[in-house]
Amino acid sequence: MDIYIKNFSTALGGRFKKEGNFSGEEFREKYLEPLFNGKKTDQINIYLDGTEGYPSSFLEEAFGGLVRLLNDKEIVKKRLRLVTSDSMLEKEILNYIENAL
Amino acid sequence: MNHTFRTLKWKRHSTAIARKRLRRQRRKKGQTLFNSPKYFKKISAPAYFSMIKNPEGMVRFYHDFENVVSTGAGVDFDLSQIKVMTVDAVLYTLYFFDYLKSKRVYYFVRGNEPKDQECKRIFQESGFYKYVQSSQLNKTSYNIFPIESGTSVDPTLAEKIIDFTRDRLLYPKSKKIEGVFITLVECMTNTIQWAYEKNYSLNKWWVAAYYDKNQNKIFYIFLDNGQGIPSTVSKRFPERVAAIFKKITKQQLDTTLIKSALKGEFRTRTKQSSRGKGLPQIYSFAKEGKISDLRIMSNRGYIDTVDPNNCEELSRKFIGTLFSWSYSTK
Repeated sequence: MDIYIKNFSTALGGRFKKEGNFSGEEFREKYLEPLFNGKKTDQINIYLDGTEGYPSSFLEEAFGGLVRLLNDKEIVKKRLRLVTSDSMLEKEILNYIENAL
Repeated sequence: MNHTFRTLKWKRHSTAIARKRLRRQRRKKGQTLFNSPKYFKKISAPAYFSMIKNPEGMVRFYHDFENVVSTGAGVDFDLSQIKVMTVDAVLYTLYFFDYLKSKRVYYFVRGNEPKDQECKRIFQESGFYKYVQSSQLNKTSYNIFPIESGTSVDPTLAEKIIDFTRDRLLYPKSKKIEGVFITLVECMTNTIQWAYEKNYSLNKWWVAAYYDKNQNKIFYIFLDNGQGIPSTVSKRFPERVAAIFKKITKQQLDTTLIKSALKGEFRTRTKQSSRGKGLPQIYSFAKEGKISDLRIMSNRGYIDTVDPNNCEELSRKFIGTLFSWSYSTK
């Protein structure tokens, strides 16, 4: 399964939907949560390039929030594959996943 | 119902009576919303009309402004003697008008423009006239991304500011300027999330940008009218005590609190480790050179990340929080 974040928006917002458009919460609910319902096990490739940048609030709520929702960081780490030319960005997201609980 | 009470004539008559009654009530309370004040007091803007170059002078100026307005007098806003003007001061002036409205302080302001031609041009092209009642028309400028305001996180507007930046610096569309984009979005997010207590209704921010051709640099200003970073971050017990005795000890408490929040020293009020990442991210961009000239004013704190010796505790409270930074070609 491939997800291109730039298809959600090239200009990403803040943390919660109530704060404004293209939030981390909105991205997680629309794109990530449906893929973790039930007993799905397929790998999810997240393509991160092509946006204007990633606010920390967006990333933490999208990925850290997913871990808190599932109460399981291992399954998130196992299924998500981050695809980007920016290794620091990948590191940052993995850090949020690791420290979400 | 009697036909008399339904006629247009009666409705006009009763509306006029109600308006008269309201005016009488307001005059009794000293309010002058619908009537011009009996006298105006002249307030001259500082020659250096700039929050970032003259923070102390500007906070004193607006403190005096508020004092005059609270007496019920009108204000003659004299800008004629300004020698140096930056867009952040214009933006703050608009914000200040909004702040007075939020405090239900009725004010009458009339004013003039700077005599200095460069300052006059900046003032006219800043977008100021879009937000006030005036006979002057709002002028647009190639060099200024005019003042915009909002009450939510608006990444689309942030993207427009990035497009403005790319265009002025002759960058291709594919060039990312993530330091600036993320700083803008995080500032908006901070405004909505932290600047206000739950029952405070006016979550608002203002943003503007301008291109300095001589330096080939874009300057950005972001302002929110919240309670300020020092008021909203979590304080440790010694700091809470110090805040009470601030006037006696003269500590640079607000400056210290802002610095600590920038360093990410676990200042989030929610006590959740997943929160409070925005300010440290902005500070890291300044340290890495992704943005430059980062300056922050909030409550009595003034932080200059370029020259730490330039950080100071202001004599008057700066209402809200102002971020100022720049970006240029590398």
